[in-house]
Amino acid sequence: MASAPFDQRMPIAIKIVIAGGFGAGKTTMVGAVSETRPLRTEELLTDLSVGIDDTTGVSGKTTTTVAMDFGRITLGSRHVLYLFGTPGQERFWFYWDDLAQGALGAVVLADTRRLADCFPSVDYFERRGTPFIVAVNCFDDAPRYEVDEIRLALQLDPAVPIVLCDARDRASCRDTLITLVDHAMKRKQPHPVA
Amino acid sequence: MTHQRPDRSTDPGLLRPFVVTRGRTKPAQATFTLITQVMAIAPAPADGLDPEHLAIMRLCAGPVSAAELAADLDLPPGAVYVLLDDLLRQGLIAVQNPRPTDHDDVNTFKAVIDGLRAL
Repeated sequence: MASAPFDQRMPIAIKIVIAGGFGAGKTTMVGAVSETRPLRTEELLTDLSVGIDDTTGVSGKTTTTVAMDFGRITLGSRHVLYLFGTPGQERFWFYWDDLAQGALGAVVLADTRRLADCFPSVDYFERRGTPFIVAVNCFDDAPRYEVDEIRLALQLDPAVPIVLCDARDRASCRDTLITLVDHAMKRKQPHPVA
Repeated sequence: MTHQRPDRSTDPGLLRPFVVTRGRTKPAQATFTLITQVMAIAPAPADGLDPEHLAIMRLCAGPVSAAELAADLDLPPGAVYVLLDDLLRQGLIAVQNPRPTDHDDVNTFKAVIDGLRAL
């Protein structure tokens, strides 16, 4: 399949992952910038793939669903961008590999009221080598910090961009995505453009 | 395009996806991903297809992703992949997986940035 000739009738599909802790605004961001309200898919997982679940005391085969919200943005006639929110439950970590596979990059949404919630996402994309940025979702009642303070708290590589955003705001989400794609592009180039 | 769906977390409804695939959980031949693009390339035959196959044929008159089909059909992606494999083997649809080289081309990044700026 991978070597099949490219079919000009179909657009090039690009995937960006929106990650972050529970309630950080993942689905809000997907909805704010997508063409339609967020769509949802639910994959079925059998006990073979949910091996890290504690099924002690549960007899027989277990089946679980893992839900993902996603949205679509048509970019001209040749490209279509899909945004996938990561499943919130940490026991679905293994499913993140499916999502991260082939992704152009990831936005890690951070909530300054619960900054630690985004640590696992940052760790995950660092380890995997997926280009990512941190977007601080500026909730109305959340404490405001300087970007440098957040970088220090996250022990983030200086090369990883941090942006402030409002996940409810279309333009803000669009600018966040542009920052990510620009960051991912620069990582591809051996010599950074000044 | 979109519709309200039951909450699967309280009502698993786990049986139906396996029924529509006649018990199959994996595509026989092709590989699919959530963003695999799918498009009908032939009219659906008058008989021999299940209602879910026919629904896919209606939904993919233009290019659409496997994930969108799954959401619209209220089926897990894994079940949709099995159905897509059936249609592909009958020559009714064309599919296109993302290529690893898509991200090697700076022009792809530039096109995405330009497209986002135009929103």
